Amino acid sequence: MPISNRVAIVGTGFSRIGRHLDASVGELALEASRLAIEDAGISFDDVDGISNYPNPSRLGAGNVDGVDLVTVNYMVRTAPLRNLRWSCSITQGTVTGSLVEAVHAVACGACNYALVYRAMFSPPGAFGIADVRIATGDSQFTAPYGLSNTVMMWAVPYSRYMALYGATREHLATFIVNNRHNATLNPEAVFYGKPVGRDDYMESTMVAEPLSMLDCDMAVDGCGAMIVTTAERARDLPGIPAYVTGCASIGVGYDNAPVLTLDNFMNSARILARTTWQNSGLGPADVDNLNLYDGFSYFPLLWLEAFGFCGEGEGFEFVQDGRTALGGTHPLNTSGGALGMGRLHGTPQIIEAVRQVQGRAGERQVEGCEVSLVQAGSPLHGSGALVLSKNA
Amino acid sequence: MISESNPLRDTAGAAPPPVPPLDTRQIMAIMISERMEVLMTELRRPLRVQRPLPQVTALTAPFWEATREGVLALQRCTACARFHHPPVPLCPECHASGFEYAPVSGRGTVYQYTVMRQARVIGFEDLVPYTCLVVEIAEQPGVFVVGNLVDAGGARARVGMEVELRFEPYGEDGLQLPQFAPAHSTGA
Repeated sequence: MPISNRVAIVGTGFSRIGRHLDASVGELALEASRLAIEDAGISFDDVDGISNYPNPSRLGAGNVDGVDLVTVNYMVRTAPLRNLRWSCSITQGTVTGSLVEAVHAVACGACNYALVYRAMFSPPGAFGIADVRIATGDSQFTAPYGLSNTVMMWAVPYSRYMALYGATREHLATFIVNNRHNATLNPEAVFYGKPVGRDDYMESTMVAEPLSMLDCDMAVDGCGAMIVTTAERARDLPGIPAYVTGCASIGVGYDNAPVLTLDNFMNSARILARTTWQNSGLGPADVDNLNLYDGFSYFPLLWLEAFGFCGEGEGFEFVQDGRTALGGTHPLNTSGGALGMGRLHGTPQIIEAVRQVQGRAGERQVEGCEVSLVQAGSPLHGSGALVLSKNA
Repeated sequence: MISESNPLRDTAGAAPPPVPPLDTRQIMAIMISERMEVLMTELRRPLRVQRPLPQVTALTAPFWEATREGVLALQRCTACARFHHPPVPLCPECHASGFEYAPVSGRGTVYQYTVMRQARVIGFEDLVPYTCLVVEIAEQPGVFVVGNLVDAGGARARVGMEVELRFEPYGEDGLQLPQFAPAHSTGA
């Protein structure tokens, strides 16, 4: 039985977001959770379920609970959550995957109010230094070539996209500038008040061709949190529910290759998109607001194609001409996305989608927004998607 | 190195001649020349790339052993004859579990690539900028091998570029690392 609006997201919250904040990431997770709980109009004691994607937010993080990652155990102990009946930590699908798990748990009665959060840690010093001394497992076919840094891994499939379809940096500039413009309308964004122009993007320092600094989201300390409950309970709460019309969590590439290929990305993206539309009974024509994961700038182009908003190889043209800007036909990443809000995994997508269908997105509000699409994650880490609706 | 006539360092000999006092300009000149020595030594140093060595397992050992003979060998299913790389324990196509390693030509086409512009991988700082290729091998579509672009004579990588195999010494144990150069036939 599909979810069909039987479950809703009723509260959201962001902690402070910034570079090297004077607060532990555990403190930020509690801060975001408290805000989400207050936003929902419930109390900590009402929370009887918790779901999380706890993976360290960078390679080789020290795994110190509450310091550079925040496990469910940390939250249960520190919040504290005295009435817990259900908990879940996933390794697949990032925060969207953990949200989909919570939706399912609430739908089947495993818990009444599930807290979902994703806490991110910005390490001191240079970010993304790869240090591989022994090439283990499949990395023995990549690391000896110096192909270890995350930006490189994600640069590789995009080189093929550009060559196949004729996408250029000028095309992507439109998307980047639009995201950063949206962030200037979002006081919670790390780049609030800091727009970039096309020239800034074109002159951005190259990291791993074809990706430059401005193609990568910036590491931050911060946390986003949400509260999930049944539609029935949602109606008794003070706020406006964002109903979950359909969701899916899979999206892992299955082709065997030493690095992710463009084909593998698209294969897995198409499976997630198809399942999301099937589970929601809706399609691209029904969506008023799109929130597609942009940890690296070109991802949304591929997801636009996978979800059928445009044909394959057309995503870079689709984002031109104001089509995906606020006021356009397909407003995309209206929160500023990860490129505008900071490296918070999918929370800039999820929380924005909720607020858009709630009609609470402030200056970024898409007029008459009834249906919002969220996707976050990647074909390497798993990916999830939700269709959220204003009306049950 | 500091020359023996350096008055600040020349303390050899039983009865050193009296050293005249140095003025500030002389001291500065000596300090700069010492720095230049360090700089020149650094500039003369050969490129030093520290490539991590593989943790060889039963599954991957034949790949690395073949490189000693200058052969690129990939895992192939004995039931359906399809190549797989990286090697797998179960054939993703026919789900058989019998494998051999078979040589491939090392010819292929650049499927996708990146040029690393920053020193963000430990051991590869001296190589920046360097190109990592994902090469689709000529023998079977959908089978990819990674290598750096070598012997390119300044040519840039591009998707669709025809490449051929090169080997370079790798570690101290006789292993060789498969690499790719622009194919001669097409002139890249």
